[in-house]
Amino acid sequence: MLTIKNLQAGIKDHTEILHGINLTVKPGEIHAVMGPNGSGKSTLANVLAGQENYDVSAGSIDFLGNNLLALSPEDRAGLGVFLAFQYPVEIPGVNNAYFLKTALNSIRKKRGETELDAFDFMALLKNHVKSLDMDEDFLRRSLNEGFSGGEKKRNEVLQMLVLQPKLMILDETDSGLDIDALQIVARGVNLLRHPERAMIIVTHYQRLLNYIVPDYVHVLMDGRIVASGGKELALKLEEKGYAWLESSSDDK
Amino acid sequence: MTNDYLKQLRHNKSNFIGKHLPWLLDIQKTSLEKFIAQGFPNRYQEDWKYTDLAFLEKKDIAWSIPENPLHQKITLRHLKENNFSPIVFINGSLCSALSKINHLSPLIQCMSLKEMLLNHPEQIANYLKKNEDASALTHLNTALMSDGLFLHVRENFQLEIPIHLLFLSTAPSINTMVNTRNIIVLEKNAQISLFEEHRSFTPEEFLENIDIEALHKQSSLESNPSNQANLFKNTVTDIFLAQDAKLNYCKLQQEHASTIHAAHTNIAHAKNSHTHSHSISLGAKMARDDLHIQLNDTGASCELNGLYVLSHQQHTDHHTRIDHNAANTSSQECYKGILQDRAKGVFNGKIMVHPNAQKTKSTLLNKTLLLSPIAEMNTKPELEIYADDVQCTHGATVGQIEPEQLFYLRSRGLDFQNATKLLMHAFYQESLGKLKNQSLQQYIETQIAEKI
Repeated sequence: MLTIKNLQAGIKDHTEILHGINLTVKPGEIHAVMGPNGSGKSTLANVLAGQENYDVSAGSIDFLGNNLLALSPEDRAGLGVFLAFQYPVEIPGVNNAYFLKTALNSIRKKRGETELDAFDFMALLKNHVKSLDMDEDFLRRSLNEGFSGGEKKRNEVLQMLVLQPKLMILDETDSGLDIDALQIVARGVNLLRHPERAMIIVTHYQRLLNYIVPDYVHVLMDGRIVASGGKELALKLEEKGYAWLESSSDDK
Repeated sequence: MTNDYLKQLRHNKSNFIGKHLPWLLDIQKTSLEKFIAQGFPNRYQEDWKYTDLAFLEKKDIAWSIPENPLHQKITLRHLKENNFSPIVFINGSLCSALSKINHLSPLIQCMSLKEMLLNHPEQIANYLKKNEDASALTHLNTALMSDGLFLHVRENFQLEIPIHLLFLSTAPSINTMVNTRNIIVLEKNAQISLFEEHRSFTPEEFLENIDIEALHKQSSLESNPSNQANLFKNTVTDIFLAQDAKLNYCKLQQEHASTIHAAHTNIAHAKNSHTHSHSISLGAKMARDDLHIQLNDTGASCELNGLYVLSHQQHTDHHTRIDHNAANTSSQECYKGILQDRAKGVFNGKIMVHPNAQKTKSTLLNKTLLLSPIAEMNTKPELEIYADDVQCTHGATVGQIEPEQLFYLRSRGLDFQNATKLLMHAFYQESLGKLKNQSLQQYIETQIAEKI
């Protein structure tokens, strides 16, 4: 589904952050990408979504047979790429429900599907809102404006439920969440587990992985994947810290 | 200022509206002399730094457009769409056929200035007399005013449906000036909504809106207006709010691209009176909008909103001034704008807190979106505070659409164009949302959407 080869990238006009990432993700798989601050986790997530602040200097990304790097952010979304932001942007004046409907219909249009009318859309939306224990009031508010950290993350999960992406990239979705909010968010994400859908979960801590159990864990350090393994790797990291890997990778 | 054209004005006394009233003729003559001495405002004056009207001196401008009987035959299609009470002025003269003046209420006195001066001059003398330290354009207006509206709302009378004050002009065949003077008085605890609209008809629109039969009978239609001819509209509006009076005031300026629009609105507030104002500028080649608020007694307050959406080579200058003259007064002001193409915007908001105005609360904000690399915005929020126990903030931003917001929307599937449109819509909708009347909100939103 997703094949990343020798990806080298960085923030525009700054030094390179990713020094050659290789990663293959198959449908139905959940990959966790862990690593200390500044290791390049968020860069990887943003490059996948097409954030224009980042420059790719080498490598390739293939998604379902498409050269992802050649596509605009909206076309990537149309193919089913979804980035859940670490810091969702506040957009005053854009009604949340209206935004969700516009987004869904834009994507349906790209897929060659018919657009949903307001009635069908609201029925679908209210269903998802309920499953996330959200107040319907959220839909009438401006997109993320004045939302608490937990509300913003829940709103990201709501968008995933509505848009039904094929590849979900969760960028530090657990940051700033208390344990109750974390459980609700994880429940929403688990609702989306599907043999045809893959997830990349970027996280600093092992905590989220108790609720969303990954198939693979990769450790990113200094812009390279230094270790890969099963879910037990995350537990080992929790116990020993990243320094353990740092010393072992130095030995190589 | 020694311009032959302006001097000629002196010898044309038959045009003074106060020619039969010695006290008014006196005022008008004095005002004319003051105007001739000062001339049109130019960029060497601080307040007119970015909006230079000196070029008007070099043009021959007719005093006013002669009344055309055809104007009584205009049927305004868009008037039928709302249920507001219309009062229509065409080229500076009241059009009684289109105006529903007598339908309002016996508790509202509504009359043209001309009629007032003919029948009840004593009633408006005081409002026209205090004029000494006025600006050049106000002097010009006093000297050459052709007509205007006098509106007097009695004590405790409250009207919810907006009074639609429409100033319509037709494309002139020669450079022409229209000076309109409005006086609006709200007595104690009175409350009204005013929707002041400025529009110009192109010759095509004029034909679309006129009764065709009338057109055939009439040959003196201003034919073939040259594209070079400019209309200079100079409006002065004085509003007086007595204790507890409330004014809901919306101004929409969408003049034709050959029009130069200048307006000076003064609103004087007595104890606990309140103004909610929204000034929307979409049209004109060049526009200058002055709004002067005086909070003269305790508890007086105002909320001023503004929105300008400009394109091509339009130039719009909003000057506001709020005088906090008494304790416990408050003001809240937010002007926003979107500039496209080569448009140029100016904002100058001044808040004066005078020595006795303790406990003043005041906020002032100006935000502009530049959508083109050659659009230009000059903004200057000012605070001048002479009291020591006040809460005041002011600020201004000029920028482009936030790239983070744009990326967020695009990453959800909205294409670049739709995402930009949605963000622009959000930007102006936040301002339009402050309009209290829903149908007015929709009407103006449609006008803006057409422009973007």
